Amino acid sequence: MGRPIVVTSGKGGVGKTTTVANLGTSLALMGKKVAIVDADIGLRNLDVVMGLESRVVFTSMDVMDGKCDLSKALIRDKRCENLSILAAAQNRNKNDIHPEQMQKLVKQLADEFDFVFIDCPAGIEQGFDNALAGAQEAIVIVTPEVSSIRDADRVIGLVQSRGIADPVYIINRLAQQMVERGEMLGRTDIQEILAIKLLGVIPEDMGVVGSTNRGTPLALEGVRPAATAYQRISRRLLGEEVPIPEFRNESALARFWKMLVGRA
Amino acid sequence: MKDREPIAVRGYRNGLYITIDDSIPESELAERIMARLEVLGSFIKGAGVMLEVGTRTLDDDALRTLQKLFQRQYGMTISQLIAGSDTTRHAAEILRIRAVPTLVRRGGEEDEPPSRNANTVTVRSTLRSGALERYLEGNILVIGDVNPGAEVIASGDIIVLGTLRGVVHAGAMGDENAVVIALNLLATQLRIAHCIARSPEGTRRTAGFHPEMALVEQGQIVVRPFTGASGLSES
Repeated sequence: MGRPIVVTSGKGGVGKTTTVANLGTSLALMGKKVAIVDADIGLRNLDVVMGLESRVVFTSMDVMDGKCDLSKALIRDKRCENLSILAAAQNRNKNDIHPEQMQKLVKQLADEFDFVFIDCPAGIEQGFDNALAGAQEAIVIVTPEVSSIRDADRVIGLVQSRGIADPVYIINRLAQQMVERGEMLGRTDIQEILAIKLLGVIPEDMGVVGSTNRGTPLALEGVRPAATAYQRISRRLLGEEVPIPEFRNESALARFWKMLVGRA
Repeated sequence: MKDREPIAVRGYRNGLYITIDDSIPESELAERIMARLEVLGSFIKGAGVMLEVGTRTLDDDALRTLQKLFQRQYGMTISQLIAGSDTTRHAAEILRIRAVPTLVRRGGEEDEPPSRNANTVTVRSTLRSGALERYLEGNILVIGDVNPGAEVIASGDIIVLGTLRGVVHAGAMGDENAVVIALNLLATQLRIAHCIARSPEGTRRTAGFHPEMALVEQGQIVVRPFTGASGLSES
C-alpha cells in the first residue's frame, strides 16, 4: 500500500503544481514508483508543467465515469520510467465528481504505486474536498507572505478536521537575502504561526519559471538550488534525517571574493 | 427578575435566548425584536436563537416571517421555540422548529441569568484562521494560540494561554467589567463590551511571553502588563 499525499495551500499561485511535479520526479529518480494526480478539474495544468500535454488522451474523469481503465489513462513519463501522471478533465468542473469517487481512484493508485501525489486546486470548496478525499497525508505549501500564511493556517485547520492529524508544510520561494534585510518573513516567523512540522524550504530560484515553461521539471535537470531542495525533501519523505540548510544566500561570485579577501 | 424588559436577550451557550413579553402586540413583534438586536452588534452573527414567545398564539406565517428576518439580518436560525400555546407549537412543527412548552435547563431548575464568572469553556488547541469560538454564558479559556483570522467571543472574560493574534470580543453582551488576558497580547482587534481597540501599527517582536491584560477604564480599552489579579474589579 503506497502513500497518498495531498499537496494543498488554500491560496493560488504558491507552487502546488510545481512541488507535485518536482517531488514526483525526484522520488521517481530515486527508484520509487510514483503517480501524480491533477485534482484541479477544469483548470488542469500538471500535464503542461510536466510537458506531457500532447499525450493526454484520457483523464481521471474518464476513469471515474467508467469510460476507460485506470491503466489506459495513466501517462508514463518517458524521461523517468517510474513516474506516471493522471491528468484532469479540462471541459468539466469540480462539482462533477464526488469525494467517494476520488477516494476509490486514489486507493486504486495507492495499491500500485509507492507514492501518490494529489495536486489540490486553490480554494476550500468542493475541489478541495475532492482532493482530500483519498489522501492520508498532507503537505501544505506556503510562500513567505502574510496572505499565503493566513490561508495556509486556515487550510491546516481544515485538513486536520478532515482526519489528517499531522500535516506538514513546505516554505516555497524563500529569498534569504530579503529575510536578512527584514523585507520578507523568515522561517521562524512562519513557524510561530503555523506550528506544525516543517518538511523543507525551497529557495527562490529563477530556474523554476524556465523549467515550468519548458515542461521539464527542475528535478530532472539536476543542480539548481531548488532542485537540490526538492531532493532533500524527497529523502525526508523516505524517512532520512536531512537537515534543512540556512540558505545563506551568497552568490558563487561573492563567496569567491570573500575567499580572495580572506587570503589577502 | 421582576421588572423584566419587554424583550430580554441573554446569552445561552453559543447563542441567544430571547424572551418576549406578552405585552407586545404581534404587529410590532418583528420590529421590536430587530430594534433590540441592533444594539447588540455584530458578534451575534450566525448564532442560534432560543425564542420564548410567552402564551401568545402565532401561526406558521408569523413564525416564518420571524425566521426569515433572523436569517436575513443576522444569519441566525431559531434553534428552539418556547411557547405556552399549543397552536404556536404546532405552527413551529410545520416549520420544523423544535418547540417546547417550558425550558428545562441542564440543572433542571428554572434559570437565573448566569453571572459572568459562572461558567468557563476551555479550548485545548490553537485556533487557526477561520475558527470561531463563541460562548455567551461565561468565560473562554484557550490553551493554545489564537491565530490571525480566528475569532473568540465571550460574554465574560477571555484568557489565552498562548499568543493572541486574532480578534477577540469579551463582555460581548455588554459587560464592561470583562477582561482579556493573554501571554502575548497581539490581537488584530480587541473588543470589550461596546469598546473597540485595534492593535498599534507596527508589530512588536516578542521573544517569550509577556502576559498582558486588557480592560475598560473610563469607556476606553487599556492594556497593561498582567501582574496579578489586582486591578480587576470585583463582581
